Amino acid sequence: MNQSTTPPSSADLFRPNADGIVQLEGHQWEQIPPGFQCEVLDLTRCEGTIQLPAGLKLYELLLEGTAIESLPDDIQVEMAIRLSNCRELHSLPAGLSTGSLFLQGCNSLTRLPEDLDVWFLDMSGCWAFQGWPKHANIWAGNLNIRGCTALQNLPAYLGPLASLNVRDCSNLETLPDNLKITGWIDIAQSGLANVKSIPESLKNVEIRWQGVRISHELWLDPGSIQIHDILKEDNAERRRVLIDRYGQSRFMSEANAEVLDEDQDAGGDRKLLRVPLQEDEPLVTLSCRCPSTGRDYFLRVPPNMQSCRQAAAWMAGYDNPDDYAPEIET
Amino acid sequence: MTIDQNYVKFFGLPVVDFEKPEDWKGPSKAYRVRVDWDTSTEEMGKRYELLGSQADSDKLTAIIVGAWMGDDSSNDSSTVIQHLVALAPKLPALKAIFVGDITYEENEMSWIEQSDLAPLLAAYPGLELLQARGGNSLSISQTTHENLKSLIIETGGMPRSVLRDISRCSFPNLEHLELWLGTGEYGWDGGVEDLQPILTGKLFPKLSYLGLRNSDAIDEIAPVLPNAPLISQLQVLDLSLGSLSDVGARPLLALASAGNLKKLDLSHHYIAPEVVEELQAALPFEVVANDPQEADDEWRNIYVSE
Repeated sequence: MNQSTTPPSSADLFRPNADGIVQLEGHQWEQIPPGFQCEVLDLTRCEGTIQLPAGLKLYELLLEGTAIESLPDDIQVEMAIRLSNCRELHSLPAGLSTGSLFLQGCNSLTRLPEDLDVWFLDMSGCWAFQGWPKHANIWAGNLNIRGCTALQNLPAYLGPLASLNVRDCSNLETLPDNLKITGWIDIAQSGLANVKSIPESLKNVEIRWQGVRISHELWLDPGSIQIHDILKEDNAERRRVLIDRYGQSRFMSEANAEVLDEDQDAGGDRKLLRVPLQEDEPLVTLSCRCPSTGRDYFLRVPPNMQSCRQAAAWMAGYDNPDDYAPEIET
Repeated sequence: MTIDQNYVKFFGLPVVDFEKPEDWKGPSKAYRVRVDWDTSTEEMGKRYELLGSQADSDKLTAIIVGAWMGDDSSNDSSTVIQHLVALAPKLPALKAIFVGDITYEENEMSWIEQSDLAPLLAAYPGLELLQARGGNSLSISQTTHENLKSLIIETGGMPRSVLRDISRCSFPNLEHLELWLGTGEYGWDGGVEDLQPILTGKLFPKLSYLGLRNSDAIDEIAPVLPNAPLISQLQVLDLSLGSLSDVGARPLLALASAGNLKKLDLSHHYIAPEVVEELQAALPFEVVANDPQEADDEWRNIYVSE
């Protein structure tokens, strides 16, 4: 059978599909000519270390999950550049200006470029990121730096923002004076969870803890929480926040948790604990230590769990604990 | 909620249904052409041709395209748009077109199949108002139009590609941009970031009204608005018919310093009365918050989705 196929001409290759998207795959990116313009360029199916030509002018650029390492200096993308999970990406060009920059999981990226101008910036999971540019405009939209654990500060030029997510930014302990946020800030498990005061410019901002709205008092004065506030809270989301703010281990000990079972796993001692709650099923948690991070966790399990093994198996998706026999737990 | 009434007035003119020469009442009416389920779509073309051959039809300023589907709701608007394009030489005074004055009994908004509206803009350089209902298959190919003042697109779910299309068009005299964004269940696949090019204020220098209506993403959109340069050039910001709650409403307090704004419309909302009062007290312009809604099992419906 004769299956010789002629390679598509570049006119065919760069013709937008019905959705107005120019979609390339494999190594077709090598054929993009200098000065190429289109509305949406989708390179997510491309392979190799994609190197883009000079003079690109686009509305939206899709590069999620590719092996791209950097973008050309003169690239122009009006609306959005989607680079999430580009694990080789190590730099972006100075003066980059676009509406939205999606950089989730770009964990080789340590810095943002000088004179960056962007409204929506998502850097969640960029744990290597530590350097803000000296000058930039990051403003108007949403800034998500969740899990940027190396970050120690935010730049003075930041904002005004619609929202700021600093969850799990464990080393971030201060906010710039005069930072303006029209919507909300999520501070769960960040270094900001322990501050006692906030800039005057944020006195009306909505505070969130893992997406749940909390009061300013619950942020700045967690010592005001009483154990009975937690026990009588019937909204499960809010109760979880209260327990987080109170301290999980302190809560379990002061609530006189009953120890249902004890054993040992890779992280050390494990306990299955039970606290009765008013007008709700009892809070049964597996207390264990993560072997990788050394952090203590209280993981809620169904109230009918009888043993630590059964609870751990349930969390892994097994009904029968005998079916759950991991070679290693990390 | 649903759209259960056809237009009785359009572009300031009383609406008259046109089927036959006796329906002609002179050029100072807005004529609606439509077919019911047992009339073929081809009949639409004949009726438009007939309309274009009436005495003084060259003075006609407003036309409505009603239900065009006949007995097949998957018939899109491309044929009827071709009819209107063909009619352009006979209607040199036309200033307003509404493609899709269709009630839910004629066809649910989410079932209406649209098509590319750009040929209408090219055929009618004097057009000032272009309105369309229904987001399926809707597009506006990149185009320039010097006289368009109002663009209204009503959908139960707007594809983000439509926002991209609008951003790529050049409408230097656009004053009124009204977008019914809808819900993800019926075609909205965008996010607040898709509105960013519009919100920069660089696209439409004369815009004075922005409507982001009938949106279930309005709580995510609203916090960005006080920070957007576009707001300082607007007189009216219309966020009505959506599912706005306290989460999206409180950030609007920051509109207090927003330049020329004269009116903020939040009607059909889920905002607590005390937050409405706070907005009305704090903002130095009219805040309309009619038609408060009650969340149904925490579910907040927009005005029209299906």
